[in-house]
Amino acid sequence: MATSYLIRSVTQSCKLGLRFNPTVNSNAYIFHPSTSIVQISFSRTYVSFVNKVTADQLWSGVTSVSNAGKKRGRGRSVKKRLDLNRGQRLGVGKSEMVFPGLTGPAMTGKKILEVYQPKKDESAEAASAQKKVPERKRRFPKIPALLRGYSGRKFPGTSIGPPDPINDYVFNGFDSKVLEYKIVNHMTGNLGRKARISALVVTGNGNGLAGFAVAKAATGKAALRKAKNMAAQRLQYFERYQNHTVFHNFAVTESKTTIFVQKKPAGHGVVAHRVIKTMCELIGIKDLYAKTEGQTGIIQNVTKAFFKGLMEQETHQQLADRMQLNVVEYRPEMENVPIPVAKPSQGFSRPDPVKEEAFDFNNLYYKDGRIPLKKYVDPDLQFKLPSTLRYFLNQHKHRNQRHARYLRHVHGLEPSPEEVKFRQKPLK
Amino acid sequence: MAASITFSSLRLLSTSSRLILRNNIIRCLSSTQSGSQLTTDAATERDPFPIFSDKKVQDLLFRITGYDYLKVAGPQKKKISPAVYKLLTDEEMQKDIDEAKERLKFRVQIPPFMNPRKRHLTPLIVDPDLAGFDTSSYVFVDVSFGLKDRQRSVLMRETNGDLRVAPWDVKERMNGIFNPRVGREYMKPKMFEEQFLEKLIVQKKYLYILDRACCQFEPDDPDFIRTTRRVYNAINSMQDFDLLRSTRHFGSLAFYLAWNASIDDLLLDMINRDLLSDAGDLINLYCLIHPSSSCTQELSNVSGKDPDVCIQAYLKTDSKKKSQHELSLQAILDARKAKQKLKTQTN
Repeated sequence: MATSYLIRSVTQSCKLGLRFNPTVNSNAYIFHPSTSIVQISFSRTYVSFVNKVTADQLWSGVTSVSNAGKKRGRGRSVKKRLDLNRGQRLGVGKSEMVFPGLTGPAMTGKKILEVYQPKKDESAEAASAQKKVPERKRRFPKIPALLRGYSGRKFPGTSIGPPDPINDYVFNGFDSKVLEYKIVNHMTGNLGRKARISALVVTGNGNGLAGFAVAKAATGKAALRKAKNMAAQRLQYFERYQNHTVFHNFAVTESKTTIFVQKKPAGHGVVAHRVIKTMCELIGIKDLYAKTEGQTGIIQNVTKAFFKGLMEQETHQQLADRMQLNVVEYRPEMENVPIPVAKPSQGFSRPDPVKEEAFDFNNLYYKDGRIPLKKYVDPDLQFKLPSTLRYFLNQHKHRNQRHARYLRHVHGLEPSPEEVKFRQKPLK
Repeated sequence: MAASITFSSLRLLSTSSRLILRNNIIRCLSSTQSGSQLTTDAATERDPFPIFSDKKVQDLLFRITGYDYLKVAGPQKKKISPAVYKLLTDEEMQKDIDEAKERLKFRVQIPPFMNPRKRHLTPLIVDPDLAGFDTSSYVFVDVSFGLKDRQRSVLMRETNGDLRVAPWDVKERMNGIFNPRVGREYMKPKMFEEQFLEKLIVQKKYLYILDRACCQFEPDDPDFIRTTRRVYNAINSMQDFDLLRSTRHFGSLAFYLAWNASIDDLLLDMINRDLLSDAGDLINLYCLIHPSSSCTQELSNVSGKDPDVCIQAYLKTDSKKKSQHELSLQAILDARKAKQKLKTQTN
């Protein structure tokens, strides 16, 4: 009994932080029954510096950075100290034995207590077990898919809310989105390469009003705020055709970036470079096709070009006034009836009609007489290649089957798919 | 006549066809066309179709309907494709618009207003010798080229040996097989059942129901009549008349209301919308349908058919919402006066 008592106390003290050689031999414990004294011999074979320095010194060696290093931006990703004894209580082991005189009172009244193991309170243990496993916070909380940007957890494409109010004016209905977010560097005498964050932000109310700005700051947050508020002070108003698309096809170039924009009917949606898509969202353009050519990765040029192109549009009213003629629209879904969209402001048109060959609205606004090449696509291509023809025939035999099945089910001629599945289940 | 006869039955048998049709076919068919013995209670019910198809009534209905060519044109459900733009002088544009209006006029043609058709009860030939010739009836369909669905003869030899004109549902099925039409389904769509119809009416999809009913049914089909009357009643109670303007159903609606002498709500709607000439036309229609009404007698003394005179006569005699009508009329006339005053002042 006494043996286990003492040995345990020694091992206990090991746990408490006294440094022992890890290669302690269990034979080193010598027991003298007469004296009840334990002699312990240590084999002092030093393996590494780990045995020479204190825990504190060891930790500071791993976790600290020099002052000069701090200045140059080192030590940001340095590890923090860990409490290796977390969850352990002094004098309490796994089996929670009570050692009178050590972990509890030695006597009750005049009676000397013996070592004993108290009965465990199961409910308390379960409670403590629950406590012991704290829910680990996610380092990066999950972002809903619709709030994520273009790629991963990066800024471009994400919304950063409306611009800050200016005095009493609150930007109601506005939203801002990041188009570009990057690190830019310059050299200084003292610090060498110094980095800043550059952000390109577009803000708009989805109803024709929008602006963009680039801003740089030491922190990303500041750069975004600066760009957003600058964009709010550079708002432009764009007229849109029936609040859903542009007035006409156009091409616009900025530096080495060229955008070919096409007017599209309602229901088409925006099919364009992701940056143009974002801008359309904020301006309030719902239907458009854009082809970006040249340097498509220089976001600032794409943005500039698109804003410039929209600003240079000619509205139908301006066209009617310029030509002194009625602008008339023919839409297939409206049975191609003439729909007047603009009349000359003077109230009547000029007498002589425009010649059909001279007027092509689709190519009216391309500069220098250069129009985009439209490649001929054979509409009957699927019947000409053996592979596509085979695919067509394969699809063709399934045509309308789904709908016919649905109708048979509706009229009660055939059980529903759920019913069929249920019937196929084995009998129990 | 009867250039070719095909068989359609639940069982496909051709061997005994001659035997079954051994009676003189031509006699049968001619008797169906001339006689067509219908049930007898038709005489008591008044037939609206002669009045409806009268030119005068048709003109009135067309005028009441209104003709907004843009509303008539669409938008239709189509694959989206880009619009075409043209620069036109005033003359060219007007010419185009007139052409388009003429082109789309068929869209507002009013579906016939008819009484429900009657069942054929009397067999053409009773032939007890043929009783039990087969376990299923045989149907004989005339598929001569150029025959219209309503003219097509469909006869049925029943298992008890009777030869009779096929019931309407069999005739429609045969028409559906030999002359399928776009939008007409072989089986009656579920939406025309009362419970589903109710849902659509609550959602105010009147136009959808009426268009589809026109596609699916003949105008004298009891289902067509039930469905359309149900929708007209809903529109009348909800005062949703404007949803049907410039569509082919507005004329039917007006005729239905006038036929049942309940034009008061529609009249109120017209007065409120400052459509007084339409209101006059509606009262004229009412008078044409009900020649013995007191309003007709009141108007018979007046020579000119000025809308104001018509309205006043109706308010005096047959109006069931007299006070409301008078109030609205007064408000509209006052507004007109104020407008004129403004005009003269500005001039």
